[in-house]
Amino acid sequence: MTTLAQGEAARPSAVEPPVEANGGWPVVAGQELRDIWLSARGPAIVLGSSLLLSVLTYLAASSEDLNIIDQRDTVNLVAQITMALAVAVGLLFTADCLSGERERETLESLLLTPVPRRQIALGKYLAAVSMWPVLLVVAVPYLWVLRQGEGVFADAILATSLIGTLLVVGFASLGLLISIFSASNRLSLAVSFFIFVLLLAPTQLPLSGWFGDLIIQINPMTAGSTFLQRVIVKEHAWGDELHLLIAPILWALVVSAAAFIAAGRLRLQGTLGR
Amino acid sequence: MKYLVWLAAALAIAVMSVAGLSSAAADESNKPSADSALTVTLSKAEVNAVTGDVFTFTSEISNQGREGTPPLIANLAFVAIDGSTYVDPEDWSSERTLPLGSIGPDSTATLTWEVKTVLDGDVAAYVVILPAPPELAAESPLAVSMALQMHVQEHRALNPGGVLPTVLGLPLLLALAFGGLRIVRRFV
Repeated sequence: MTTLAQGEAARPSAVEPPVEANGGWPVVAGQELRDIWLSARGPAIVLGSSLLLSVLTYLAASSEDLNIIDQRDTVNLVAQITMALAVAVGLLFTADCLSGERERETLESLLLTPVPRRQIALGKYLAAVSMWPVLLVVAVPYLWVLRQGEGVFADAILATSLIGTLLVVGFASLGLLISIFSASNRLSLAVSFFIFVLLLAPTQLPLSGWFGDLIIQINPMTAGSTFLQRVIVKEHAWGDELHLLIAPILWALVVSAAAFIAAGRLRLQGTLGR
Repeated sequence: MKYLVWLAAALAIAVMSVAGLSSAAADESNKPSADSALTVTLSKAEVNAVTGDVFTFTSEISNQGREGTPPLIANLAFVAIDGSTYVDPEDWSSERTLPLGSIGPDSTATLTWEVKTVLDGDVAAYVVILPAPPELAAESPLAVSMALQMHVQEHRALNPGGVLPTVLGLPLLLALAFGGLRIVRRFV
């Protein structure tokens, strides 16, 4: 939740934000970052993710010790869980960021500030995606202790950073887009989470044949997950699997463009679910 | 008339059976003899281990015939003998198929196998020698070793792969860092 100073909110000319105001987003982002990281929200998620990865790593190492799971599989598992967690957190944070303000009746004062609406959205968006680098850093020691050699560790870090960034950018933008139009926070969170689960589910299915290949190629989650699996587990060269980056890249570009175009039309009342 | 039909049917079945038997006998005579000149001897007959143990054993493949063998392939196979242990051979040994080449008359070849006891239970391992293609489909019967019996007890490592310091230390470190930050903020 962003609350600006009383004086700023009270300016009568701030109903239509001035176009030349470009310095608003750092203020919004700073406020949101403080709200996430200095409250219990961000630290609790990071701590929870660390505990989850600890349990996972211990179980994976036990299995790996007995040769049931290959070490590369365990590294891939930790990388995929970290990425999925970051995507879910980024999505839910942005899904809440504007519809939550709307529901808490604080959006009006925010819209009355002399900050363009796109910059309000940008500030909130940047704060939400700040979870990703922190979660990635937390995952590094786990990937390190599970690694088989320097090669798999470097591949895992680089591939997870790349795919995770693309997916977090795309899904956080999706959450923002839904939040812009949602009249209620519940609707925004439900729709966002439903789409997330819908796109995540095929990663757990045995996809084969032309239809399976199609799903892998066009679904950013399956494409990203398959890319990680092939690079980390099967030791494929990055160049051989570049086609799997197309969907995550397009997803990130198209959805973020749509979200920031829509952010210019941010209204006090949401249009969905009224 | 009815009895005649039954009689004819019985006669036909008898004729077909005799023809089938003679055909099978002819096939049998074309097959190579089961008496192989190859013998496979394992260096161990029984192993007692705990889960996660790694051990090796050797298999000696002797050609006691008068002629050299075609190129051979050796395969290590596993089977649960307690009826309850799930055995995935890939987990138990990563290299289970080894090319052997030809073995001359009165010669012996030795192969070393590495096994990791993955799950607890009673499991048998045995080595099968089979000719490499194209001889596989023609002559040379398979040669099989006696079974190596493994009795595996469960063993849980407290610190598998040395991950324990990380899995305990990192959440603790984060909790201390975040908790410390909150305390500092309260007083500043």
